[in-house]
Order: sequence, then structure tokens, then C-alpha cells
Amino acid sequence: MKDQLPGNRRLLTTWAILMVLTCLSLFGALAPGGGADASLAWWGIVLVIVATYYKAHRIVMVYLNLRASSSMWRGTLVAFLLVTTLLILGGYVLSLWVQ
Amino acid sequence: MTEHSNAGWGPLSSLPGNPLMWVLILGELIVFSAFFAFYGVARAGDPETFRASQQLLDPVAGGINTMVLLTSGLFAALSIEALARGAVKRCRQWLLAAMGLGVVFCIVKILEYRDKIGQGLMLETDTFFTFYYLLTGFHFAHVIFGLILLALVVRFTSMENVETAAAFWHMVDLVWIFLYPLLYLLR
Repeated sequence: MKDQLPGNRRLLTTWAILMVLTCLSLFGALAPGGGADASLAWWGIVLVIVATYYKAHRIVMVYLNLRASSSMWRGTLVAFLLVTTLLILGGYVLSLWVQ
Repeated sequence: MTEHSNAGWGPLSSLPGNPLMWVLILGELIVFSAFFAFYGVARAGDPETFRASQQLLDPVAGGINTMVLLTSGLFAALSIEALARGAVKRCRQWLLAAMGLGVVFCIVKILEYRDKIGQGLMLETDTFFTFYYLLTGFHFAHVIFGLILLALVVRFTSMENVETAAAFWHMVDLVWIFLYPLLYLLR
């Protein structure tokens, strides 16, 4: 049982990564925008989206420890995270496009 | 993930904690994703209002709450590590620490609500604030439920119980990870 758990060291490393990614996504959102309409710069959008997906992935794989689960569950959850992230990105890009 | 375990639950048997909790977790995740899709459609229909209203939120406060919740999730995961080593007292200490940060999250959120309500920004102010209060309010209710679960497993500490409560708590983390950019950052 203990072998399947992530271990304190992996958990702490993951936590540090999550903190850094939160700061990076905040930076990406607060950095000067790409246009006069105060929308985010394209790299800020990419930073926010990539950081969000990777944070969610780490929570599922390490905090929830699905890395020790079956490949079916890992694949399902990763697909779900990807779809949710793309939904958020798609909604945002759509609103920029229709403007 | 424990070996106790969940034989007879089919595919759910390889997940940590009680399989019934995973039915709830997967259902909640789908519901929140549907809300995110509705939000995206609504934003596309009125981008100016959404952008103007999002400027009234504080991304730093949201970021602080993200860090608080992620750290609370770390403590919940550490409680399982401690229990696997047989350190029941340490496990309970981690659970209480996780609960403490959960309470901090709630306090920051309440202060944020108070600030917005003080500015006259209510549920019916515009479509963005309708989504803001509904989404964050629904999440807030999950935080409260998660705190109750954590309190219960502090009292009834077993590997299955702690894994079950921690799985729910990480789901609360996960939903916030998506809510934060949706409401506070992508504007």
C-alpha cells in the first residue's frame, strides 16, 4: 500500500510546482495586454491555459494519486481535464472573435 | 490507494476511497464543466459586459485563495501518507491543518462577497455576476461539505474514510483550479 502512495517528497515537489504555476498564470493575466481593448496578450492566454491544465493534471495524478489507478481511469480523467480546459479556452476565444 | 478494498465495484474498485464518493465526484465534475460551457456561450453573447464586470474582481485575492486551497490539498494528501505509516495522531493533525486552510478560504471568499455586495454588485447586476455568484456559491457549498467530511474523518479515522474525504477535498481543489482562470484571469 505504502509503495503506491506518492510519498512526502513528491507531494511537496508537486505543491511547489502548483504554487509557481499559480504565480505564473497571475503574471500572464496581469501583464500588459495585446490591444487597446485591454484583452490579454496572446502569450498571457497561453500561459494561463497551459498552467491551468498542468495544475489540474498534477492534482489528479499526484494529490488524488490516480497514477496508481488503472490506465482507463487515468485516460478518462486526462481526457476530461483536456476537454474542460478547451471549453474554457474556446469560450474565451469565441468571445474575442465575435467582438 | 488502499488494498482494503473495493472489490466488487468493477472499474471503480481501482480508485482511492469509497467508490460511491467517486460517483458523486465524477457527477459534480460533469455538472461544473456544463456550467463552464454555459458561461462561455453567455460570454460570447455579451463580451463587453463580461470584460467590464471581470475588471471588478481582484485576481490577486483569487490567486491567494488558489494557493490556500492547494496547500490545504497538500495537507490532506499528507494525512494519508501519515496514516499509511501508522501515525494516526499526525494524520489527524494534517487533517486539522487542511480544515484550517479551508476555513481561511471561506473567510477570504466571504470578505470578497461582502466587498462586491458593498459595491452594489449583486446576483441580478448583470449576467457575469449571476454566473460569478452561482459558480462560486456552488463551489463554496462544496467547500463547506468538504470541511464537514474532513471533520468527520478526524473523529472516525480509517484509511478508507480519510481517502474518501481527501478525494472529495481534491475535487474541490480541482474545480477551483478551473474557476479561477474562468472568472478572474481570462478577461
